[in-house]
Amino acid sequence: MNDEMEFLQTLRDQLQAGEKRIEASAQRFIAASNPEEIKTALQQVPAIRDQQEAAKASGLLKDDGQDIDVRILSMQKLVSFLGEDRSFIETCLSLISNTSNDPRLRQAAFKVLQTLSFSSRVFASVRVEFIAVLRALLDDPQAPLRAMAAEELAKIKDEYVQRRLLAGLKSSEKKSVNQIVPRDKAIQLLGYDIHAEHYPIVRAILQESTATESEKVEAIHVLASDTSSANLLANMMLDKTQENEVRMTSASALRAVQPEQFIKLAKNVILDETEEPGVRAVCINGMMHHLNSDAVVNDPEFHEGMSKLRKVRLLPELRKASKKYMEEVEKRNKQ
Amino acid sequence: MTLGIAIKKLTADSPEEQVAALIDQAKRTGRLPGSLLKLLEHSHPVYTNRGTNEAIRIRGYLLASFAHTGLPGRALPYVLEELDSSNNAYLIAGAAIALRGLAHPPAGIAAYLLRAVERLRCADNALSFATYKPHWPMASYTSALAELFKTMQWLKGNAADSLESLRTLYNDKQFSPQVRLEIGKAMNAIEKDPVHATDVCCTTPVIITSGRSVRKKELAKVRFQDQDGNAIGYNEFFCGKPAVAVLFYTRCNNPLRCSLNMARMGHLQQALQAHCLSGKINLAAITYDPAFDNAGRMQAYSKHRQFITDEHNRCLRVEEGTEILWRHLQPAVNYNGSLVNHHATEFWLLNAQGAIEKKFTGTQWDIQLLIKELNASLQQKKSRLSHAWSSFSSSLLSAMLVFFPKCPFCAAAYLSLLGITNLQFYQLKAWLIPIFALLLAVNLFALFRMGRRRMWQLPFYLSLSGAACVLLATFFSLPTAYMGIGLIIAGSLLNGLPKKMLLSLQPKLKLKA
Repeated sequence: MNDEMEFLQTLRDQLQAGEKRIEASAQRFIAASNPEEIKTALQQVPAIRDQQEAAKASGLLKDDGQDIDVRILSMQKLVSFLGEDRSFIETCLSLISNTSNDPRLRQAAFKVLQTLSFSSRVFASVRVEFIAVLRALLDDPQAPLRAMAAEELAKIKDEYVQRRLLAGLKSSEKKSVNQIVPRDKAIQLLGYDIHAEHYPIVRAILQESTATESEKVEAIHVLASDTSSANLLANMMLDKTQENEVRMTSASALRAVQPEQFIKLAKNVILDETEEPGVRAVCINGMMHHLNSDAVVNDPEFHEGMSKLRKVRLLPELRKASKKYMEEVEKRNKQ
Repeated sequence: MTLGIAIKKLTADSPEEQVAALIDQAKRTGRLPGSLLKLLEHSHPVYTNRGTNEAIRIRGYLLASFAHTGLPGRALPYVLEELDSSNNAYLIAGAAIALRGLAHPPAGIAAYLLRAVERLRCADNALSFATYKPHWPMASYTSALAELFKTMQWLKGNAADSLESLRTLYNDKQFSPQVRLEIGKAMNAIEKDPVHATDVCCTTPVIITSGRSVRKKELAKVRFQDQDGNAIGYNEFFCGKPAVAVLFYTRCNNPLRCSLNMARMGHLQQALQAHCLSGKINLAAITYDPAFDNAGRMQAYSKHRQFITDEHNRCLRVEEGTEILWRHLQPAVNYNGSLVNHHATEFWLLNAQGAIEKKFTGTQWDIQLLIKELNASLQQKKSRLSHAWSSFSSSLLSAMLVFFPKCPFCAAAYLSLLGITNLQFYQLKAWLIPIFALLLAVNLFALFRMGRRRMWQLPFYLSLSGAACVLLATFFSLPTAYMGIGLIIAGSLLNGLPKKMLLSLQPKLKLKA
């Protein structure tokens, strides 16, 4: 009992000491005049808590001649206090829009707005302006800002960003002026919307001889929701000239899009001793997702092949996967 | 080529810019060709093989054009459907603008606008209808909320029932100053209008149409797999009981359409139970996307929306005969490859023969109305059975009246016939033979007399041949006797026909009177 009381008292003391430290930092922030002092004080303050502090921080944020770190810190510390203030959100929007601002400040303002987009009730009133700013950012000279804007718009399935990303992918030159983000990123962002019109172009990219591994992997991720691409994915999965990562991703994608076809092909891959162990392991793991399927549980010939596999020397991950698979199948059969 | 013909010629391969150019042309001329209205149909080929956003771009731009060309009443349900259940700001804004093309705004429209406002208050978007596929940044743009409130301004007194809601919205800080300005203008416009409409309507006018059914024989080719992996044919499931069918797909991104429809199937199921109708009505949720929606996915989707599946309540994916089923149901849907790009909300009431009784289009399900329709369908099924029995019994009665012996000779003929045909069942047939032969002779005599009177001896000749066969049967085989009996019966029945009928038959039988 005494221990508990003592523990609680210690906590109280620590809290009070912390409060005092914060109070002292806030005082220092109010009193500070040179950038270094302000920066140190702001770093020690968890958040702006009253009008006086807010007024000073807002002034620092809007001061174009102020140190960038000070402006960024001021903005970050103001989020919880002014999150419901429309004018603060508008200030952040104007900071992003102004291309003459330091890129770090613009990116920080972007992140603040991302936070506010789900934490602030008032944010809904600036949503339209925010989207307009994001669309304008797609042509920003700063590549990170372009990518951030494209990602934010892709999340809401914005038709303009989809249109621009597709235009970038369709352009014959890999480094086209139409490109907002690299091709692999563009494919990934288009994949946020399964209803977008990107499947034909993504299929074409996957079959390009010049496509990079990451482009192919992203393309396969996207095609995992396109039932019309099942045969293409199956070919990729079985094509031994492809990189392992591409083949393994294809196997997972085919499992999602056409489980029956995957099970049929995966059995051959698993029993093929010349196959890559990584691809075989992915196939075994994939089969484990379909233990309700008759094709997986009731195939004595395949299970016999699998039991033979266990006896041969295999890579640890493959041995582990096949052992687990057989255990699961036996368990199901007993049920 | 006229504008109407050019629009009519649009196909899935037409570039979207070409579609937009024709819409622009209609806007400029202020003319509304019928083919432009056809573009509102979800199943129109112009939407085929396009992504959802591309289909939305065309549709939203088309809807907004009706403000210039005028919006005819028959296009109103399409506009209201978007206002009522779309989750896309461009489509909703387009629909709000389209309403301004109405010659006479019906009362109650404001309720749709307010429902759309509620859905968009946290999902508004920056939009422009000035050009097709605008390039951003734009100097001036609008938003869906702004367009909804502009339409409220246009409605004036017709939106009087929304005045209180508008006052509440005006004080809500979730709306931007620009939108609040539009709300204020709408309130002013309503207050200043001396005419205040009071007729409030707040549900979508469900369009009920009778479907064109495909023949049962053809529908037998449609094969489904249900949520448990069982195979079942269309006629197996849909014939025998009335049914309600909806279409859905698990990847639908509008929670107010497929997801809500499935949940409503669950509500309907409960309502049927409450009305002691469960088991008497089949419920089916058929997927638009059978390539992706396998049994497991359908099972999970229905379960999470409280649609309990059993032998009368199933989720179905078409395995064979998709084209036949689509021709039968004619759903308002379009595809990009194998994936749905847009669709309407609709459900079907099928009768016990699997034919479409009614098709309902619209987002609001009135379960009570549906129960009423289902009860009517069940009553119809019962009355169909009783109708079949009554028509059979009346035919039987007519036949009995026709062949009823109408004179002593006919009676004798029937009696002799009955007697001789049962001869083989009597043990003492040796001494009965002369008696029956006598009766047979009486029968032949009667037929002969009747034939002379009616100047038509065919019954007599038939019976005579029959009698000969019966007598010959004592020397030959039993089949000869049966043939004889048949001829005697035919003769007697023909003789029993009334004179009037006989006269009408004579030309057909090429008999001389």
